[in-house]
Amino acid sequence: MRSAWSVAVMVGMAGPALAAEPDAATLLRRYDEVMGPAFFEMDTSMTAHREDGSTRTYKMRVLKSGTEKLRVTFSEPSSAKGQEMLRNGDNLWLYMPNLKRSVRIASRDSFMGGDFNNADVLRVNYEADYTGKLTTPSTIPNTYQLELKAKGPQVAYDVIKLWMTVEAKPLPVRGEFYASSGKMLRSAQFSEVKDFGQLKRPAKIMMRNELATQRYSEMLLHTMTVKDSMNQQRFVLDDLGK
Amino acid sequence: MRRTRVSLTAGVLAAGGLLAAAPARAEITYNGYLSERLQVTAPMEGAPISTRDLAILQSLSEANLQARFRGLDDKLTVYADLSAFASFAGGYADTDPGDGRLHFVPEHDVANYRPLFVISEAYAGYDFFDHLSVLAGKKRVVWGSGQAWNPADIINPPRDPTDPNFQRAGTYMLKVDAPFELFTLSALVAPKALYTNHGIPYAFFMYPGHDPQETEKNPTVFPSPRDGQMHYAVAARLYALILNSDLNAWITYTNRFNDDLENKPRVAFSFSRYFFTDYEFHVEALGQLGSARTHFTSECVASDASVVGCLSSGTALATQKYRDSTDFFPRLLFGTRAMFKDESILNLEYLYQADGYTPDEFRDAIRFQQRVGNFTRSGASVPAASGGASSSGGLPTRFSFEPLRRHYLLVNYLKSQIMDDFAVNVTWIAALEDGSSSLNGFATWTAQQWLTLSLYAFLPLPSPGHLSRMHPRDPLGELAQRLGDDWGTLVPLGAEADGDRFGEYDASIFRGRVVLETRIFF
Repeated sequence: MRSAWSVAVMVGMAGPALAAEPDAATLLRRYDEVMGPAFFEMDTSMTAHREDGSTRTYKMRVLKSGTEKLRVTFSEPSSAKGQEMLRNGDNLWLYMPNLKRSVRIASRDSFMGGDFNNADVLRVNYEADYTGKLTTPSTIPNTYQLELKAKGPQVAYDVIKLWMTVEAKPLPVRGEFYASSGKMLRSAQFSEVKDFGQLKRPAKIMMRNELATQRYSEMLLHTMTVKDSMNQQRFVLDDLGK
Repeated sequence: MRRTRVSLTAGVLAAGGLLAAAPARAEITYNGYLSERLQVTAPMEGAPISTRDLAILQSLSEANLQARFRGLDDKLTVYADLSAFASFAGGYADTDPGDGRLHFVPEHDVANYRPLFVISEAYAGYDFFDHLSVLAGKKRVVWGSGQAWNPADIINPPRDPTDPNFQRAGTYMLKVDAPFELFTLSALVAPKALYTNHGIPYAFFMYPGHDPQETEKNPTVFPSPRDGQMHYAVAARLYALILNSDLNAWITYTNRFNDDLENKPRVAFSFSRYFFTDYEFHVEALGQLGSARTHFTSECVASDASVVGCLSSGTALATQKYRDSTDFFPRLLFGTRAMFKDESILNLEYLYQADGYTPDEFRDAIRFQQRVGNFTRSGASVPAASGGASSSGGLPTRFSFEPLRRHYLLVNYLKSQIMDDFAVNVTWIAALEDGSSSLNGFATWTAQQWLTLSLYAFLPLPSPGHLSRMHPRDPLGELAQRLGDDWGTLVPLGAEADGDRFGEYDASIFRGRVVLETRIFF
């Protein structure tokens, strides 16, 4: 992969058309590196815009370890404070402070009632979950267009169309998420690219519900720290609620 | 939610005897809510048990604070979930044995409506190593997978199945966990809180050398609970994540902890897994020898006169006949939960408990309630229920589920995000052996993220047998008359007591209940 980037950088000045075009697998890997590095801690917020124009905002801290483990802890609003989500492989749990226990949840369930679903947030591992192929020409200028097909039933969407910038280090700009019937369920816009120190990536994702088009949710990334490792005890079911 | 980051100097850490290597930062967070419940209850006319202590109007105010301290590189956690309740209640009515109608009774003091302080949880936990953590204090530990009910949970205050999110109170314990990626080993020892004052415990493990205050005031109604025994529970548990399934197996050894069983080991098991992507399936089971369930002597509860006869002859009205038995009395719950495309959630569960009453035993239990009700209405001092099955120290529940029979169906349906801000939850609990049930529901409006308004309704639905007696000219009553004795072979009738037929929820003390709750989060 490094050699592919090197080539891209070397020929970059000559313009995108002359750059060695990365293959679908390389772009998928790049997406995962940008949107879900192996180990990180981040503070983020999700604002759900509803059909009546009102909003609901949730603040949370996200910890990720490797490709299979992720933990989300909600800090706002007060009514949701202390709720936690944990992913370990194909398993997802929700810890409810008012219940003092965890319950299993499905990857396709809505994430806190917004327009993301649980897998959108907890399962960013496209390279493992999807097979991709490049679509040419791309329908958005200066982008690579990918079509991803699910490898198994545990993912949220059967088909994803993904657009990434044509540059040395491509970044996602748009995604479309489809059911097996071909119906578009969600669409995402990736914007506000920020440098978080070790990582430059879109800080804003706007997910639009294509079944109720007045609804959309925004995920804003406030801080992100990429790490070499994480305390594995934070990803154990019994640690939720502590 | 409020969050405070506290910078602690190394000197403070050293003074605290803590490790110099600990990071000089700690975090305190707190949140909570204020809530007001206005409750209107319609007492059941002709209920077997007296309704004189059931307030028709009640206001219940709660102030809740949940505070968490994390420090020492996240190894130390101190947490408290505290609630203070103030209650105002009024309007009492009871059935007059003379005319069988409800009549108001004078206002009087009822213990259930006094101010209360509830420590739902209060504990300190420390992670000594990556795979060893210790916790001391009061905590709710749930190992079962049941959604509405946990038949294998014998250490926590019981849950309200109509609102499974509600009960947060735990039990006092010392717990050790050894968590690993795919399995966890846990062990705990829990002393029983024996005396409490407004929710604050002041005697654990063994009874002190004096009776509680209410016994000293009225030993007839509140007999001395003291014995020379140690009241505790000890448990060990193995959790494993195998084939995307949550598996728990645990053994609990209790001695007069939340029931009257002595030196009793019990084994339990739970399972939870998603199948076909969207359908969660779960099983929870408890195995025990013997049962603490109270059984009533048939010949003593047949009439008020037979009670007097048994009391004068020294015959026990009630016994725990299986307390020392070696008969196997399992409890089993299994069910499924699914979320549909509109994000509504349906939860179906079946509960079996082998020590539930047989038809004759249930009849005697209902007749006993009749006897107690009649004596209470006549002004006699009747000993308060000894409890036995449920532990104290929990939040006041809106609905109490204490299953008496063997077979139950629990159905819960939740539809959230109706017009974005509304949610509706309906719970139906059916006693399958007599056809009575309880239909409960609530609608919640999340007016703001910090404000919810909820309207709850609780309605016992009569069994066919009770309904036909209640309304002799209704279709069921007519059918009952035409079928005669064969009626009982077609539809479960419940228990016959004093000429009436009672299913489990026919014996409810209220005909209906409505609760309006306002909750403000901070």
